[in-house]
Amino acid sequence: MKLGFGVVLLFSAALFQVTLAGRITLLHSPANLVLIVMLAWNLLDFNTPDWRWGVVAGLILSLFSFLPVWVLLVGYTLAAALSQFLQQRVWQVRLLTLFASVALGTFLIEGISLGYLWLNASPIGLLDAFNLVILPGIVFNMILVLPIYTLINELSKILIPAEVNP
Amino acid sequence: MLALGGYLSPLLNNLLEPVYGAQGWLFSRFQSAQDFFNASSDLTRLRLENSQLREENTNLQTQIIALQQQVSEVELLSALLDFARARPASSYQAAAIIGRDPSPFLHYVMINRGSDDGIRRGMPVVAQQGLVGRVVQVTANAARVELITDPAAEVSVQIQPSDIDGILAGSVTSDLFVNLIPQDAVVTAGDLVLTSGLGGNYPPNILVGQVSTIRQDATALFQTASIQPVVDFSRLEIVLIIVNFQPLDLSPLLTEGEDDAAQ
Repeated sequence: MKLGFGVVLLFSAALFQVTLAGRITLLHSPANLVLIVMLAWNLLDFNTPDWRWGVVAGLILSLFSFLPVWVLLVGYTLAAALSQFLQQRVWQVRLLTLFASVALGTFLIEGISLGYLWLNASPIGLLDAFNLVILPGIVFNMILVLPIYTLINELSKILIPAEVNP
Repeated sequence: MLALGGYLSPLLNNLLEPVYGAQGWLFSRFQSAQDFFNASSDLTRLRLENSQLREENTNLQTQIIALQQQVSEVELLSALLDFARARPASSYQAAAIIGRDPSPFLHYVMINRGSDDGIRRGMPVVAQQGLVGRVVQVTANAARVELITDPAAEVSVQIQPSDIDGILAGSVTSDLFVNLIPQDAVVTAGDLVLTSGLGGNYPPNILVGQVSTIRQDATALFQTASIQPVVDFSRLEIVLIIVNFQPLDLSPLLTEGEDDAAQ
């Protein structure tokens, strides 16, 4: 039930990302809803953080993106593994972990995408990419962390109460 | 006789005055009582009517919104039809945009037409204003279009009226530039930029935009011009795919050239 709910949640986030959220940008970067939803779900109180949610998110997003599957898989899996590491080894407070993971995860995912595009001779300026895409992306994602975390938390309580309060 | 003579009128008036008063009081009390007893059924009826009117109002508002959407769609389609009529040599397939690439570094859109509708890789995509991009990936029912604003996109263009050739390039900020303009070429702001057809990836004479500024460096080999695109890429909804255009595949020639060089 929990697995199914998580997959549906990530799929809905990906659909919302490519249809609506992609149009709303801060400078030249839209919010990465899939990353925020994946990390928020991974760090909910009743969930044990698991890097495999990154694999699920990467696979779902590869259905919609022109980037190769491995780029998305590596980026999202690293972000999920990072959140797992931070939660288990650094902070017990899940919200702090979430904020840190979203910031570092955005940097990782966009950095890996940029690296891949560079290797394929895409003429993207490093300074432009950092100032106009990666940094605004981090800020935009940080703004959305708290509302999305609250929304997913409340949705879980309503839709899978047996899993939330066993 | 006294009554006929009008001598009793004052007396009658004085006698009937309290009767009229009592009658009026009684009537008004009865009316109030009747209103009180009928009020509950009237209130129910009014509430029912009110809810019916509200429902009708909501339905009408929904219809208005749907009609407004239809009007804007019809306007858009008629503009696209005008574009298609102005170029009778080309065949078009209309498609709606159904999504954007989630990566901010890739300026790609998904359209709801695929190989089942005759869409093939490399086909140019236009809107009623001008060039949008080209198809780079096709599935049975959908296709992916690389916009000309993508950092990796390159289009051979010609600047009018001076007939200067250049290469249009996109950027991560969606700004467009024309590179490789010779230093001695005279380009002014407001000049039109159209596809040249060189390289065989796009048909010639499709409007791309207008020159907004020119960057000329004395030490550089070429000038660069910033372009204001005619298409508003953030508001794209429906596009046309030119289905009878066959892009040239130059890769065998390039491979042969490489082979010759190796020998």
